[in-house]
Amino acid sequence: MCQLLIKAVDATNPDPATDRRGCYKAGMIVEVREDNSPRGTLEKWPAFAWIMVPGISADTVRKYMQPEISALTGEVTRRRRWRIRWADLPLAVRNKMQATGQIVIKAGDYTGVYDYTWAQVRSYFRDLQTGLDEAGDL
Amino acid sequence: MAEVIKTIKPTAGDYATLSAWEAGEQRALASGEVAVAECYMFAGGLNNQCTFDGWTFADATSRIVVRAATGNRHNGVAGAGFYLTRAAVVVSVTVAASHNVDFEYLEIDGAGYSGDLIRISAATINSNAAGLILHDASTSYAVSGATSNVGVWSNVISYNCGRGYNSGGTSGLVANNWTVYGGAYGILRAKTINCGCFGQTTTCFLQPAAGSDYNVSSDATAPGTNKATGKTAYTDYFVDPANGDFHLKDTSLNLFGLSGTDLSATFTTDIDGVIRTFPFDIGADQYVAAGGGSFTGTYAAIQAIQQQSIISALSFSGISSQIQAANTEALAAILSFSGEIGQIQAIQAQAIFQALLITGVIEQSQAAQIASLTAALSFSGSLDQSQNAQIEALASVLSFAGATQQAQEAQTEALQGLLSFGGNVTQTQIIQIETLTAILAFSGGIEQTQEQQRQLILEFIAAIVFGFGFKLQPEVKGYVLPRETRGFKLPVENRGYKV
Repeated sequence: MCQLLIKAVDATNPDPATDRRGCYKAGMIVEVREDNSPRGTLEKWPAFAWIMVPGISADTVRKYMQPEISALTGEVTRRRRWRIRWADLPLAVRNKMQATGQIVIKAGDYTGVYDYTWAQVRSYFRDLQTGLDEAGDL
Repeated sequence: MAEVIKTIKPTAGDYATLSAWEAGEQRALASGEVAVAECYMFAGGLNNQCTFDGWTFADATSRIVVRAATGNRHNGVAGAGFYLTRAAVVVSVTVAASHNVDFEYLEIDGAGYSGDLIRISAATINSNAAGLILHDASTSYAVSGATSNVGVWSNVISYNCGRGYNSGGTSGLVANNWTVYGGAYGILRAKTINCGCFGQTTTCFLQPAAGSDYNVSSDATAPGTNKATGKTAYTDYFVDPANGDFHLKDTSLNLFGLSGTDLSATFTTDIDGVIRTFPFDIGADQYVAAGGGSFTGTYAAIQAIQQQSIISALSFSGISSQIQAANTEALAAILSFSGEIGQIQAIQAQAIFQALLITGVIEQSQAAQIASLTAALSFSGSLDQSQNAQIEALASVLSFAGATQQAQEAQTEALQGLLSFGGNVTQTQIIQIETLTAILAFSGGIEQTQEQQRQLILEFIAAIVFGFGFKLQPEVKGYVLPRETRGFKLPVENRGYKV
């Protein structure tokens, strides 16, 4: 029931602090939208990719688009706390995204067509604040 | 400046959300490059949180602009155009350090959430805004700034927010013509000019910056030499404050005993996009007298039609008869407008502005003619009279069949002289109406026409320069009369001319 808009290329800024705090990097989840939400004509490969998670509500995965916030100052320190390890994705996944612009993930009680299960892909979701990969269920 | 415009639409736009636009367009902007997010209406508003960060700006001319598209702008009241609602418990729009971000004609509805509507989160922000409606951030800020921000925010309505604007420390941000209603605080620590704060439970103005003047408050805190305080009869001032309609019921002079100062060097419109007349009213709205007409369409739609017509006419470069036909068609479209006087004046003022940029050749001559005539015919009587006058006058012009280039050159020269007048809008309109009415009434041959035009224009320029009843602006006082006007004797009917 939701879809994740993923940045597929790095944006950069010459100032290291701004680059870390403000720039989207490949693998960062820009937005979480409901399944039936329309897409813009520029929201597509190669700038973006989509991860469809039809069995899961948008609220369930919204945590992946939260910024990293300093516990000390309360200020944003990184554009996104979570990032898909883009360079580590299996070639088949990358090829699928390149060919169709998206992959479909089976999670929850979804029984339709899918490309991968959540259990197969979740470890590519890394919490940059802790350095740990996702191990939980949706 | 080179604008790179991308659309934000619910369907078939470049992007479906503002934050996706920001992610997709984030880059280094060259000098003069302007990245524009042009927003269209979403049913129920666009529920989206957006942070502007990570961009690189070459200088102050490279900017991000977030604006509601023409035809998708509010009309001064919430809910009538594009608006943002907020995701949960977060600021709606955040601008990070060292960014140049401008906002135009946006509405942000914070109902049901907490958090600021626009947060300028850090120092060295250069941000301008115009025509914003920010409301219902009941416990938070409409605009939360930082100490070293700079920019001009004009024509902003904030209501039912905890605070209207708070810089966090005296900043370089100037608040012009704000209307702030309700909440605990109005405007804090900013330079405020022509602003009104009403109904705040703690204080209307707090720690205003130097230069604040021409302000109104419901308590005693309005800053400046020129001010009005204790103004608490809100339903007498505004059309429907309980429901977010802060259009004035009368001029601010009549309502508050205070007019605003002239800020036309900085901006000329109000929250509706209507051209401000003189004197400026206090707050985001410029009062327009009732009885201007019965038009019920949107201002943006009218504006779009007229602009399209004018642009179409001006882009044509064919032969004489074709030019006339094109002009006729374009002007007929313009004349079919039946809006209110204030709307007519707004469009005409835009036309004047365009005309003043013109310097020569045939296509530009056409622009000058159309724009000048449109401006000149800004009769301010009743709507029917205005339209009849326009149609009659333009029909006369369009029936001219002399040597096109000669006529255009003569008219351009004459009109440029006329348009060089730097008095205020009302004075300009009156002079133009009288001058052009006389010109258009003449029906002689081409040479006679040209000569007659020159004579009439020179008479009126002389009248302006010699100051018969006019308070001249500096640029007019420095005007050097053409050689042929020296020693010119004013016609009897112009002597003692007064506005």
